[in-house]
Amino acid sequence: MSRNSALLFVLPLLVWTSAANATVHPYLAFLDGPSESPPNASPGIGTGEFLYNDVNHMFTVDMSFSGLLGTTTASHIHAPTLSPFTSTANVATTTPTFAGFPLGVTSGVYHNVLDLTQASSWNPSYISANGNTTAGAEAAFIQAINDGKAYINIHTTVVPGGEIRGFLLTPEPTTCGLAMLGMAGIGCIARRRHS
Amino acid sequence: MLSRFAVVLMLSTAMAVPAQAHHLRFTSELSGIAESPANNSIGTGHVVVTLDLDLGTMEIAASFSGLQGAVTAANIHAPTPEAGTGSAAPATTLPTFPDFPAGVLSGDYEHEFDMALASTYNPAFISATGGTISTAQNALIFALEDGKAYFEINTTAYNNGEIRGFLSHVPGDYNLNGVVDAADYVVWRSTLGDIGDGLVADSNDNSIIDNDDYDAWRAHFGQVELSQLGGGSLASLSTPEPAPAALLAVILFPAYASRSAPRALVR
Repeated sequence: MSRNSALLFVLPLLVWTSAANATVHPYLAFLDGPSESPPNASPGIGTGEFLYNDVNHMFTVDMSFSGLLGTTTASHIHAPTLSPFTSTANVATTTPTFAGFPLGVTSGVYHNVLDLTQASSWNPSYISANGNTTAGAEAAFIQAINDGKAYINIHTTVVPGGEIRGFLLTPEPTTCGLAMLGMAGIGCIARRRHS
Repeated sequence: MLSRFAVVLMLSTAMAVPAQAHHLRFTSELSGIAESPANNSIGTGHVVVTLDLDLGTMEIAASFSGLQGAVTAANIHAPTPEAGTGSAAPATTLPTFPDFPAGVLSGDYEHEFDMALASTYNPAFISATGGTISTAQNALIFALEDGKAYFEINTTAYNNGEIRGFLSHVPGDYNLNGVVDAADYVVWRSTLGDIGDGLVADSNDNSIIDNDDYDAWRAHFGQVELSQLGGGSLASLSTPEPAPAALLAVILFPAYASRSAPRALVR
């Protein structure tokens, strides 16, 4: 994909950013039970939108999830798996769970901005495994995402090993547009279910 | 460095619902008395089962000795109808754990299982628990957490099990001997500040050995694992009775040991 078209696409999302020459990389994830290892039959689904600013090192996380069988016990991004889009890996982000992630619920939304220069954004062992610096952790993390070796997982009381998960994807402009449409659709369904 | 720890500490204490630990350790002492029905075997064993809920692995470390018959099989059986008593079919690999020492009276075993593989389970356990690997995995985890899973070794002398023990999770038992005592403090103190996934003294699973892990040790001081409580008193795990007894044992044991040691030397 061309960088310009990607920038055009994410431009509306960047209005709040003042950094002039930063590149903001968008990533997407679709979470469900069949994507788990081992796969499960959970009816739960979730979406994740992530924005990585490579100048100020902010990593924005926006998630929504619903229909879980159990209530949430933890959520993190795991990386790197041995091969793309399969198997498991240790936790890369904050342990024991994302700061402020809604726990004890079957549906919810989550917004957080991780400052990747802060140790508190990481699993301490992920830092020590990547040169003992947050910069090393950040480089390894972004590489893993670009390689399709990072996934976001939601653990619940019913499926302690992870009820829904999805690998972080680097969207092509077209798939990205489709994805946004899909997410809007899911949002509508969720709203209808609630009303 | 200290301020980093402080940040992590603040984050972990600020949460209303505690996140579930992702490295669960279950221990058990194996004996003939714990069998159903109980037998006179003088065999003993010690088992540590470690679940990693992030990687989806189960590590089994076992040692056993003094068996009357040669080993024919070893399995984790689950779930029993009630915690700490009764019998159940094998939940794990048939006919025995892969590479478990057979034909011996004593031995050691260590193996890591991928809980996403069908071969980790007894096929009957998979079908009885919902038919998928995921449902089998969940059932095994919950049976372990509920005290409804036991580790058993079958031998030529006792076809239906010579020694067994129910597996239980004792928070604060950092040296994995089934009792939370002063020795666990030593483990915590000597690994304080260590960083890593699944460290034995990392009770809150934040990948650092810190003051929260000390608090967990102190809060559970005196607790004893299921297999050391004896059949009838299982319900008292959460009541304060076992604590004074364990405390007493901790206090008396060094005195006993120091008295008996010289005598043993004379002999």
